[in-house]
Amino acid sequence: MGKTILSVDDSATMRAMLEETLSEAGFDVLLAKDGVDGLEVLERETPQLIITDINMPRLDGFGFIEQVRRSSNNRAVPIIVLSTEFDETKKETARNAGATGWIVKPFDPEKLVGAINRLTA
Amino acid sequence: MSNQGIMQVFFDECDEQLSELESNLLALEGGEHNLEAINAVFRAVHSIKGGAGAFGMEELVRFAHTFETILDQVREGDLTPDATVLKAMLKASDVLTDLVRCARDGENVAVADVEIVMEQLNALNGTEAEKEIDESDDDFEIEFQPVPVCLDDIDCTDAGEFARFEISFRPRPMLYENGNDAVYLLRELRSLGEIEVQCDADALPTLDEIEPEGAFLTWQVTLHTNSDESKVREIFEFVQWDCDLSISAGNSLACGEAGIPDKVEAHLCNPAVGPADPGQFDAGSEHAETINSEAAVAPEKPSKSANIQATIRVNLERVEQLINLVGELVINQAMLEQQAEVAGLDRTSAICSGLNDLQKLTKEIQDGVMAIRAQPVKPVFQRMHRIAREAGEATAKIIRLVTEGETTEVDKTVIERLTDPLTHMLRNAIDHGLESPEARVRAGKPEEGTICLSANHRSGRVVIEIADDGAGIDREKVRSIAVARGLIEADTALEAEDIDNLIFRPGFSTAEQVSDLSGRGVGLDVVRRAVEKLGGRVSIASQPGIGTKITMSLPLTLAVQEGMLVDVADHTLVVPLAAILESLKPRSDMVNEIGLGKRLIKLQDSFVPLVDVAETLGFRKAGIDPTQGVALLVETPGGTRCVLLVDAIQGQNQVVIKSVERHFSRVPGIAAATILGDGRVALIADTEDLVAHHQSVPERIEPKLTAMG
Repeated sequence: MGKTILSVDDSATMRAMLEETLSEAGFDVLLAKDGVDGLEVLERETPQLIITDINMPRLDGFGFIEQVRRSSNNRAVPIIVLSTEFDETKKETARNAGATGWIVKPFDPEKLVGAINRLTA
Repeated sequence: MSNQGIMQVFFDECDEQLSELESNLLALEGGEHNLEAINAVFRAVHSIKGGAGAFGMEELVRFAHTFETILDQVREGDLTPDATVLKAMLKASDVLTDLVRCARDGENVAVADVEIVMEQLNALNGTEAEKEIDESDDDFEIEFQPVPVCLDDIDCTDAGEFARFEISFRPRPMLYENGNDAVYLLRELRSLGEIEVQCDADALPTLDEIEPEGAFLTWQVTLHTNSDESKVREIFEFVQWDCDLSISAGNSLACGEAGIPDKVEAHLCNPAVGPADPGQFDAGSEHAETINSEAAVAPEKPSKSANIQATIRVNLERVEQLINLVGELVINQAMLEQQAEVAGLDRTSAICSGLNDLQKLTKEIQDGVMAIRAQPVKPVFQRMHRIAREAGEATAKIIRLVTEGETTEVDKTVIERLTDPLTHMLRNAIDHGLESPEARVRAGKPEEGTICLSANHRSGRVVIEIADDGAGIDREKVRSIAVARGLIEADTALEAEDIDNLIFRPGFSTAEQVSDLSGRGVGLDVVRRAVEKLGGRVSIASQPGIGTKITMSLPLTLAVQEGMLVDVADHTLVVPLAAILESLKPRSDMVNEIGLGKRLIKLQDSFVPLVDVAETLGFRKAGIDPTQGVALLVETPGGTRCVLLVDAIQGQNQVVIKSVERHFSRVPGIAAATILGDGRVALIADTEDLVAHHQSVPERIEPKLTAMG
């Protein structure tokens, strides 16, 4: 059975790239355009892993991660932050919110897929 | 989706983000200091940077990063977005727009401009930021910072330096809460080399005491690897606060081990994470409980989601195809209706009432499909802000551009072709319409000149107005120029309105000195031409001392046209209604032969060339007697007036435009074709081309004749 990955990013470009990369690697991809949208998807889906951006309208990545960790059905899912930022305090905020890992954009498709495989095996 | 496809998504997104960026900056400039606008501005730049980074557009990334740094300071409240800051930001948004365009078109970037603006931005930021930028440049080289993931490219058989690391880690509950697992970390370690793992379960409570969400195991790992310590640390980077960790280097299997232990000591334990600190461990458990209790509370329901409109991107070709099909459907429906009438079916019959419903539905589908192509004028209007800024700078005038009715929707093609005429009109208004600040003050007006750009729907058309509060048209000057250019005679009697409209005549340009800005000897006739090509009309109204208003009226769509159906030598021809000024039945005393078979028609006090349509299109060898036909007075987009002679008028109708050029080469005098209600094909006349094709009477004759009349 294919693994399902939810990708949350407000940039259509990033969503398109992630969809391309992940579906090519054999994952089923769910897309959401911000945190609120992501939570809506999670109400009916239980992906094996979540990739999220930080800077997003309505509900940003930090808030989104917090809410996921508080949810009843997806609280243990690995969440990778995919952001252009590499600021230590931001990383720590993400960690405190409940992020599993942090990858800096732009990403290397092969390595991203490798990371997902290791976190979902 | 191909890489090209994603790139297209990126550029489309850039356009959206850039327009978002500008409108929010303008809102801030307008005094709206809300955080949401600042956040939106930040996100726009951030998104562009992210995408650009993915495609390796370094210039764009570098600039966006500098811009973003400033925006971040504003967002954090470290920098106040005052007039100077906003001005620099607007400039930066212009440069960003240019950079995106250059990246899309593969053009070279004017590096100097970029650097200047970049310096301006950095100046706002102070020296500290510059340092940060330098650092960040390096950071961009790092493509991937995997945590808790490591690079996979280690070859264990490589006969390099093998080192031994003793790793001890004890996950805290937090590590599991964050979706991680000791097994992931062990797997990562194994990817570096050979590992021996021991699990210490001493701390594991008995089953009746166990806290299910707690963490009780300690893992001892011995790793043999040719990677250095940083690689090992990297694996734990993201979890170092979520576990008690110690890493120590054992005996290296290769030489040169002497220095290693000291170096490792220095890195060893993070002071914040003392090995096996029971206090912290408990704190972790408590935290877990807090979270557990909160887990019962349902996550906040997003309430605003209803406000966000879902959109999809569709290839334009598909829409065009749909529009074409709907066009066919409309025609088909009309044919059915006609057939029903011919067959003498009772109006109350089931078939006829069914056809009635069909007609209503078809109309609704047609409107709905047209609406797909409709887009708000907002992006075009927004581009005007930049034009206004630049024109203001070039002319040293202070300008406030007010836009109204930005949500007014018009056909995509109309919008696309609107940019150039609008730009020209705006520049013209700034260059010639508005006075200099000093002159305005002398006239008792505020220093700042206001230009209002508005759009709205009026009786099935879109009306776009551009109004300035400048000096109005100097009619004396316009008149004398027109005389000097030979457009009118010195003694021609003209109404004020006629004088104003002279500025739309080809070859007219009021700028005594061709300015860099609005003119290169090109006048507003270009605007008029462009608008009329779209089936629109331009008019001007001016009041001395108060201002000038130029009004454009445009069709909502280019797919359907209002046309006059006329008979021409047994053919039905459609003449675009927008081109027709009036229709009349010529009397013999109105017709003047001027030799070579050319004729003029006298209308009021001017002579207008007569074009026999059937003859010009080659339907007939010789022209008919004008008194036997109907004359349509048309005005071409070029401003030339002409009378088209046709046999008879059938009526007025909305026609669906079908291009003929895909099947035939360009036919002189014919713009397109349509299918009539009875299924016959009718050609749509291109009035300008008809007149040009006929072109027997030189255009210049007209004003002289006017004067004679």
